[in-house]
Amino acid sequence: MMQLLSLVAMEPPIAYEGRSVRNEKVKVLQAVRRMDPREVRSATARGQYGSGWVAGEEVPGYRHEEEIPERSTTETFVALRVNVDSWRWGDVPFYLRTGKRLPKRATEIAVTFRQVPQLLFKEALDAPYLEPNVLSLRIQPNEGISLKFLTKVPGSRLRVRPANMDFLYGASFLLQAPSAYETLILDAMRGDATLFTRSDEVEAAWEIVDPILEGWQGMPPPKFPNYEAGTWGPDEADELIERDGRHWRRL
Amino acid sequence: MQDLALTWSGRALDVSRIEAELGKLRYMAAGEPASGQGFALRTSLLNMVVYAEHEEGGLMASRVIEELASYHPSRALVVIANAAAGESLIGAQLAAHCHISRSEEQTVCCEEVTLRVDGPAALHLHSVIVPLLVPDLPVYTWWTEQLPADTHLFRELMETSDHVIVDSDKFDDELGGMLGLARLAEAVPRCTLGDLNWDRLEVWRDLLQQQRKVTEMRHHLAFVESVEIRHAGNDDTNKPGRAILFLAWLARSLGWDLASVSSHGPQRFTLRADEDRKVSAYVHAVDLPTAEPGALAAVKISCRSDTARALLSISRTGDPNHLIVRTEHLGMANEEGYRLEPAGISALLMLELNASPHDAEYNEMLRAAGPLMKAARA
Repeated sequence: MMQLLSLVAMEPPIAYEGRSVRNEKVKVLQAVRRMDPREVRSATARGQYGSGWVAGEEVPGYRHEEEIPERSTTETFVALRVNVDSWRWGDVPFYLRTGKRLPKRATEIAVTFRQVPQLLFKEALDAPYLEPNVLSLRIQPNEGISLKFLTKVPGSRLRVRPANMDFLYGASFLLQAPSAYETLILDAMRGDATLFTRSDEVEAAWEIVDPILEGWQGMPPPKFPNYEAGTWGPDEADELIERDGRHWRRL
Repeated sequence: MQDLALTWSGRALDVSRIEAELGKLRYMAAGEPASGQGFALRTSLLNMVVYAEHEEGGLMASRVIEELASYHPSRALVVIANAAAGESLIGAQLAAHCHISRSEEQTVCCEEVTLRVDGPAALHLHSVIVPLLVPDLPVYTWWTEQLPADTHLFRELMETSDHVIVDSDKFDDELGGMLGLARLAEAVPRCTLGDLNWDRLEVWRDLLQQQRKVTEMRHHLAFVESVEIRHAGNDDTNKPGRAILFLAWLARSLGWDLASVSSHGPQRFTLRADEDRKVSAYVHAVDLPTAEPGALAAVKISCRSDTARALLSISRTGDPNHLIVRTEHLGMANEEGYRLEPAGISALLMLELNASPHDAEYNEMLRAAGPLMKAARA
């Protein structure tokens, strides 16, 4: 997730080559504000799944999986809000969410655009709030890009509804893209380090994560399991983002 | 239309395989790259989930989705559920309904996934539906069956959806079903409800609203004395649901206190219009072979103020597709005829899909009409 965060937030590198790209990625991670214990409480949510249904199949809870201790407190879900203290991203929150046994497997970066300062058609729309436009970069599965925006419904009345314009990479060319490992092995053979994580990048990522882990250790132990397999995580994750007047996208 | 059938079935849903096959369909629908097309962009407005318990219900839904494809490009998931089957088994079949515009420059497609879900998995459909939804778009669920006594699954689908559409005309106990819907609407407030039976009243509601814009009638409608609503039916097929819904809507529109309703037998009610004035309402079935049971046959509104009397009626004629609006006041009568277009399931569903998924008009109607529905069932 830190990789994706640094890729989406980095400034344009001066060239597409290993050093330039990785320099920019490291700068992002170095700019991520470190959390103190109080922030860990308000800006993170963790969870562990119980039994439930996924893809039409009943699945056991984490503590009943093979070779997992019955009282395990290992997290299987985390949601975070992080701030990147840089000129560009000073007031833009980044929300990260990952977990096991969620309803679907998806890796995406979604850029939610700001509301415009003034809604010209607010009165006619009879709505104080319009859904923001969202640009989604789909990493896997089904690599592609989609743009969600509001469009006017045909007719004399002024009504809008969301529309989704989706570009599916695989369906556009129907060629088998090389797997991630194939790409990396080929890059290694060529001596191209662009897609490999540099040691200072790894250290910078741990400097973000360590205070969170320490903060959790100072908190009362969570009541696990706290989300049902096949759902989008614990209620605390919803509360985390809803406190900021936002909500998680429906994936 | 292009179809691609999958012969696949298994104990769990194979999301990646379904998505891959849908990708192929998109590629086929986009045309040949050599012709300058072939870039598989998809435009979608909504997710449409259909719940059916029989093959016929699924086929009917599939036909309707195909008819709506050019207006509502969507991903449609038609779920044919059979919870009574012993073992969980899920099968899928895919199709793309594509319409090419007159200029033949644009193609609008609807992806349809038919899922046959047997066994216990049919009681946990969110786990089958959610992985296949297109992100960010509203989810409309069309429940084609009766409202079950155990509403666990219905409620689960409400929690997965923005708008759930039923047809209370199909309920064996229309009023009991609508009262059940009212309870579910309270329990899951973020999901709105829609009812094709409510949509069937749209023309009648529009005609009455038009009369409220006429200055003289607006004055008289402030002094309603009695309302009579006739609906098609007989002793064997008494379906008062639509008539009761219309009465509730009328009462709400004219500001009567629905909580004050009292009944004098199953068909006669009294409502309080204001502190000094009460309105009597009479809902009853009439034999009307040209209309389906439950359809409104006539609405008669009698008004009486200290100075004048007036009558407003909307009624069917011998022609099943013709309505007469008649007004009488100050000794003058006026009649106007209106064409009543037959409203098939596609047209009714279109009304639901055209509305915002957050439009809570029907939820509010259900809440307001509760006392009237209870009185009608008593």
